[in-house]
Amino acid sequence: METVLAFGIFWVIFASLIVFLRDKWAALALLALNVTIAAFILVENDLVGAGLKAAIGVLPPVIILLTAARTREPTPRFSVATLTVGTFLTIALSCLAAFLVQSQFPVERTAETYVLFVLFGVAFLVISSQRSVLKLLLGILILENIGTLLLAWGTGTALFALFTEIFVVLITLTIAIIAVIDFAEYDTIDSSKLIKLRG
Amino acid sequence: MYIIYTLIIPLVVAVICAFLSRNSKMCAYVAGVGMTISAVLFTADWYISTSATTYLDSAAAAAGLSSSWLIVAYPVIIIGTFITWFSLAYIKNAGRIYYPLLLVIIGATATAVISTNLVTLYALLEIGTLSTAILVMYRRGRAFEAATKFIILNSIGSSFTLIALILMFVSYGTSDIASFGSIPSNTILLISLFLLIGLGTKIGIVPMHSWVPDTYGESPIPVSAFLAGTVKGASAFILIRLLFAMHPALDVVLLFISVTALLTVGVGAIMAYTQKDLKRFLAYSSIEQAGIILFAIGIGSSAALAGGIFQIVNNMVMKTLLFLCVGAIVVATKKRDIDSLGGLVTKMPIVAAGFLIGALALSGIPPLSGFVSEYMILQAGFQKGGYYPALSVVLLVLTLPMFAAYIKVFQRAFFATDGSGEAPDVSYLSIYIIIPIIILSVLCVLMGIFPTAIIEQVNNLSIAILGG
Repeated sequence: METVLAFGIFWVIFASLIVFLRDKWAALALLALNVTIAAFILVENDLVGAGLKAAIGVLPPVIILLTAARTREPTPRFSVATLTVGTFLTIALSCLAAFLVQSQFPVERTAETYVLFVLFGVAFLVISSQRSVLKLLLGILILENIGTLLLAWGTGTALFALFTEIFVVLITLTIAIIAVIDFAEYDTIDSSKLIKLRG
Repeated sequence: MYIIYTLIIPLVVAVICAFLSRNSKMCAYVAGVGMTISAVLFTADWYISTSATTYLDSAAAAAGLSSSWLIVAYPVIIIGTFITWFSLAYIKNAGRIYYPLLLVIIGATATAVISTNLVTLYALLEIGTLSTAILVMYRRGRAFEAATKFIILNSIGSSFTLIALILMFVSYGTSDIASFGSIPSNTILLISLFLLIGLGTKIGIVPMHSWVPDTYGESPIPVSAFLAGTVKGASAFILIRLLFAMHPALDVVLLFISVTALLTVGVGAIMAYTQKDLKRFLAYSSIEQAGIILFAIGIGSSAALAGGIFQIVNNMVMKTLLFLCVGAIVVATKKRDIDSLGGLVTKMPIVAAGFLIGALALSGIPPLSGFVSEYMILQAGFQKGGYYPALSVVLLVLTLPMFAAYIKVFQRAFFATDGSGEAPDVSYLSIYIIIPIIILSVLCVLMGIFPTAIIEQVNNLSIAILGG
């Protein structure tokens, strides 16, 4: 429980950083999130899972970094102050939700319940508060990491983990390509503009 | 079990097409012939019931594939074959990726519906999503708007599906859907909601439907037709299988699904009525159809699921027929705006008849195929009791604007003329466009007049799904 809590605090911090930071730095925060998840899986004695996460989990942040270098980040929808308040509020509400449903889950999984609820909340904050297509992608990748953690806490098989990681990379690559082409055609990766091209 | 291997043919042909991609005409013919071989072998196996070796059986079972669900895989292959031949006439410069990706989507969809393994299922769903995203942006320009919306919303949906599948895997301790035991009801509730959001996004239920009009509107028509009729139906079938594999499905979840279904039908029908663009009109009508299928899931009884699965199969045929008719109109007139059409009934009588049959079948008018499945769903709603008779009446009322919309569009496109009284000029239509329309129209009629064989199949299937 202490291990989960210790790692969980780091994961929440890294995920929260994605809310505030610009695209490039947010990609590095995701990299840190993935590396710490790989370390956690290693601590849990799943060498194959840790190896997979470490080897393949590095790719999405790298792809996002390369894409960020070829595009220009749109002006954020909210100020840093608003996002800070939003993040603290999200974490608090997620903890409250976890507290309310805690009795429905095994006692030995209390820390996991809190960590997952908070990561879920932060992922949604990222998806709902950002304009940049890359930030939306980062939100989706936080959600995918929740899947990885669930696998690590369950009786995870390497095959499922392998498929998950491969498809995460492919999804990242597809969205990154769309973002680069969008930028070349419309000079923006602002999702609110890209979905209203019809006018 | 041998029949399962015919599903691999589209994937093999996709690889061949990828190598032939420099010659798009050759690629188109190879794709068409490959799909036809797959469809013919499938049909032959279906009726001849070829016995397989033990080795092949165990190999398919190890890959998590079951022959029990072939009734849904069959129309996927048949519709896929028509779509491939239709593409030959519709897509002029297919480029390198069109046919390989189209065949991958067809193969992945057909295999996903018979998959009984969570890992295989997840892989196939993701392959389908990624291939679709690339096919949507196949045409540049405004298609990127659709592609951006599609990939972002569907990736979020995929994340929910992934979490649901992992929760199932972790809770049941197995990835084999057939071996699921019992788990606490709160876990079932959580998984059900994740599944509903994840697969609901793929099906296009309200409020996760916003990608549907743009994607169907901007994709090449064969792709829109396959997505609206077949991929949507296959996703709904997968939702049914996963939801009811967890025994028991919770009443609160079913009621929530029913209300969401009515919302979906209402939004789809009303929005369809207001559309000026033929493809967007069909996109909203497909949202309405998704709602009807979802309502069957919400009722949750064996009879309702049988009706729902029949509606899925019907929808594959009817919706594809309507999209292909619209494709024929676009090819012949170069127009999609409903108000700019008119008087086409004399110039395109086969297409007019096909559109009318498809529209009436989708509206549930007897004796066409849609009537039988919609009647089964409504009957199951009345039989279930509780809130469901009232909800069934609401469903019936909500489908009325859709019927009115079909009639309005048919009247404007095929009968009404502008002030000059002149119908638009139409160009020659290839047999690759006309023949699929004729066959699908005939199927709509035959499946309505002789539904007994299909009803028997879907009844057995629904009993099997509910663990009977």
